[in-house]
Amino acid sequence: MATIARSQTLANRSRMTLSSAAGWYVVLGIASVVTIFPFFWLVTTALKGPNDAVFSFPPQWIPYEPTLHNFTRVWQQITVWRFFLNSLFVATCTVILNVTVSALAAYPLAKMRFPGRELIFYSLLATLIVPLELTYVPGYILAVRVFRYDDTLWSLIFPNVFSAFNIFLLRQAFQAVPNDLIDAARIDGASELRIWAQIVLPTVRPSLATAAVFTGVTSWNALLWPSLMLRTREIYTLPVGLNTLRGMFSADFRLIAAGTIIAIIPILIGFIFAQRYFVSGLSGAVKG
Amino acid sequence: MKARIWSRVTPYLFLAPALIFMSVFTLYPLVAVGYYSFTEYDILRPPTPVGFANYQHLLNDNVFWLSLRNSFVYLIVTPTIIILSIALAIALNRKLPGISFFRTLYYIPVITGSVAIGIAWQFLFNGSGGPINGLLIWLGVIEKPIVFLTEPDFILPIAMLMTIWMGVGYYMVIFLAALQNISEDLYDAALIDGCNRWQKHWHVSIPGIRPAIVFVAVISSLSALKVFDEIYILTNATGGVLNSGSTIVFYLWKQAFRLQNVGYASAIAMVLLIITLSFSIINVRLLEQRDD
Amino acid sequence: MRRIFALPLAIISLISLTLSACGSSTPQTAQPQIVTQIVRETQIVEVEKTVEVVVTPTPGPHPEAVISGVEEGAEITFWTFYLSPTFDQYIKDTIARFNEAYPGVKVRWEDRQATLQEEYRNSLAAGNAPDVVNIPTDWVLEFAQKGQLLNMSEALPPEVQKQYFEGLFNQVNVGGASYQVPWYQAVDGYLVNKQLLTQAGLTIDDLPKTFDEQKEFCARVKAATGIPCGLRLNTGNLLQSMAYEGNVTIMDANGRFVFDSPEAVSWLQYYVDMIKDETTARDILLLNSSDDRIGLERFSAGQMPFYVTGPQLIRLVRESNPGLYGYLAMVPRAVGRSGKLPPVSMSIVVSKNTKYPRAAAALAVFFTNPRSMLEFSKLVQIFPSTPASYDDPFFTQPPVAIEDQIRPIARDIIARQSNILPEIPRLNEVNEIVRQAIEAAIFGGVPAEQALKDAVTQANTLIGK
Repeated sequence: MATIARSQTLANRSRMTLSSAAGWYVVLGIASVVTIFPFFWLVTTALKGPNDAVFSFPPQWIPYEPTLHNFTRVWQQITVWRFFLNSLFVATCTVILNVTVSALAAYPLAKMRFPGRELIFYSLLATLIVPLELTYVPGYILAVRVFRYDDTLWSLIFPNVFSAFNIFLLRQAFQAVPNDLIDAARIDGASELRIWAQIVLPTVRPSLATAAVFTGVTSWNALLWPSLMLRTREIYTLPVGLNTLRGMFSADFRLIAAGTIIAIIPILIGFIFAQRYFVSGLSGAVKG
Repeated sequence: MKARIWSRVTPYLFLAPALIFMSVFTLYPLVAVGYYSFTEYDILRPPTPVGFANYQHLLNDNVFWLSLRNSFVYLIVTPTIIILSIALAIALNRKLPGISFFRTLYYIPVITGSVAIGIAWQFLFNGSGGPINGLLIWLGVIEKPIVFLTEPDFILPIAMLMTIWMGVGYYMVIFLAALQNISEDLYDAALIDGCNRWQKHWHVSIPGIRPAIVFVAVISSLSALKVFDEIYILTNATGGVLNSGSTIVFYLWKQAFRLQNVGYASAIAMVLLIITLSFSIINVRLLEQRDD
Repeated sequence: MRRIFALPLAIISLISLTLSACGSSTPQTAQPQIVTQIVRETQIVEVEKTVEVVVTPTPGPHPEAVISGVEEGAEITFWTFYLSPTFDQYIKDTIARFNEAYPGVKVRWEDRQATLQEEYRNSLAAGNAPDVVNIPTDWVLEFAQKGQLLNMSEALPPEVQKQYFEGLFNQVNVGGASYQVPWYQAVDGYLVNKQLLTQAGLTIDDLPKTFDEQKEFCARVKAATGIPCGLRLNTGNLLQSMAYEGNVTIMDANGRFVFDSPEAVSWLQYYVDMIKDETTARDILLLNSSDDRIGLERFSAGQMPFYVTGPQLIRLVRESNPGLYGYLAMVPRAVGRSGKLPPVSMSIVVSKNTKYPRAAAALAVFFTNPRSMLEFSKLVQIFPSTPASYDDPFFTQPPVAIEDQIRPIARDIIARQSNILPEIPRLNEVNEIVRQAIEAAIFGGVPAEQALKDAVTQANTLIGK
């Protein structure tokens, strides 16, 4: 009975796939159009010549005199590539520092016993509640008066090294590492640091990737804090630079569009190559 | 002997970097904001204590209550995103040729960043000939273009639309991974029981990804409460006509860094803290209930 | 020169004296005898010769170096507003000239754009503010009231202060003292799209000369072509628009705000009506001043009959829509009910905590002296704040290009520009209150009288009256 039903459902399934494949493509196609449309509009605007109307009724979809002139003008006047490099530097440093510090902190919480463990654990939990935005005002004063690193890229990195979220994420991952491995290494006389680096970390790579992806994307897209800290144009990160670009060229939308395209192309290229890590990284969040 | 001391100290050494950064960048600011909220401070000159004046002013401040309201209204984004991304994840959870292309495509808005998208949004909704106006006029819905970004009623929905559009790809990936964890047997059992396509999803898929739904709900709602970027970009940092787009974090920023009222902004920050605290408690309670 | 010869001369004369004294000692005998002796004698022979001598005269005062006590080896930072890249050469040349007058001062120049106000504020808070900053005069009050600027009335000698139009130097005094030096002035006028006028069946002469005529004009254009005007309020200081356009008294003699008077209500109602009738564009009215180029873009796209702006921005229109350039005209703008026009002015200020106050003041004064101003005016249609510049034939020639049509009458306009506003405390916050009242009346349907009354109450509470 069960096997007959089984084969029937299998047959049903393959029939469904064939006939409704077209239907699914339509649905996905519509979703794609919705997703791509804003970018499409940016691209056409960026390619419009001086006589193509940017805003008009009815809207002009295709430029009559397509030109790359807008791109060259923006490229010459504002160093978008430098913004990109700055963002890259900040994101990379933040990820490395953050993940390292979090992984270090997560290890004793997961695999060691010591007095005060509960206290520290609950304190960390409590900090999850403190919204980041609350720390901006005193953080600003700290940056400007105490550490004096305002207007440098370090002001974007250091405040983001501590992340209770990542610590908990990694702690969960560490807890899944079998104790036998660790105990064996301890008996062999390995130091805790060695155990951490050579045994535990490699085992939890997916979670490390997750933490890295979350932290990296957050750092890359940050706008509020960097715009408070950075004043010299040369060290602007991409979001701040784009915002400035918008103000610089507010008299001509073609230039704004061109600048935006220049800014996001490297990300798109990088993403297409690295998408595997993004996707697997995020799915690690759920499994963990 | 040395080894014993060392092993005693080791846990604390591991924790030290994190705890140091935590104290400097999270605990100290918390205390500082509490202190500043009882002062009047413009950064350029030393703070002057004013007792509860800031909080009293908050109670009477229309813009503050409006911002609070807007932040809560913004929560509508969360269920919307969840539904859309689950639907999309279900659509993508099948073996069609080229399916991974679509998956990549939908993720693109997530990585291009809020500034680029905000700029694109301003283009789209432009009141003197943007494509949205063009579309609506062509469809006959309206006769004259609407200057969307100056209509008080439209600013928040447009910002929310932007948030949804940016977030769907991000959460879709999470749901997709969760869906792929559900074993086929469950689906087969459902089919045998006589479920059609839609019921199968309702009875198997959704319950199967419940942990992911909870996770996404928590993250999404907390960031909806704290929304800033969309408002900043769409309203050119003004908060919109009649402050219709102002949210808690935006108002905080404006008071602190536009009007130089750090004391008042700190009071707003304390309110934000109470809100996130309550939300976290509610979330934890819900989690506990669900797991029963 | 003589000193060098003095000592050897003395020695030589001493030696010759000694020698001559020694040379003439002979043993005592009865009869003098003439004995031939060889005597060494040094003879000084005076010879007149023409010699080429290099003379370096002590440097007299450079005509443009008017500030004394400039610190040696000073390094100062100078920020300008939206002047790069177009005026790079001018700024660099002027700095070079500055260094001729004040050698030994190093100037680091950076240009800032839309984010200048925030950046200056941030840098003041950080304690590393630039020494000299070019800011719109509207912003001076904010920084001066917070004690962040150098008092120019005290720091500059009276002769230097006199080089400016008095009305301009004292435009935004705080406590009776000036904290800025006026730099270039713009004369705002109507930038007109003649093509649109013709389309509406109107001519240049039909353009409004007064505030009230403006409302009718916009209604006519709208009725004929369906295109609204693009009027813009001064969002940075809305009370200024109110005062000049509506002839409204902002504060009474006791320092209380009184901008809920019938004149004020009438002024606000003017705009409420125009927005309701759609005779002016909704999104342009309260455009941030840093975004005012958005309005310019709309004008360039032919979406309004005129735009209030300065001739110096016509070049942007030309870049954006070259086809329109031939149809442009520049005429004086409509005068408000007060009968006066607000100054559109750029200033230079010095941060109070600068390490080199004398050098910074010197730079500020140098850039705003008559010669620098004249040279700047020759590059672009801005006007000097120094009366002496106008004596140059450049200003008395008849104009050719559209951009120059205002030039001959500019001096008069600028000489008459003065401030009719009182010193407003906590300007930023009061402005915010006023803005909300205006938005409530225009977009929120609140009656104008109510909105203004609430605003006055709030503002007075804020300043403690």
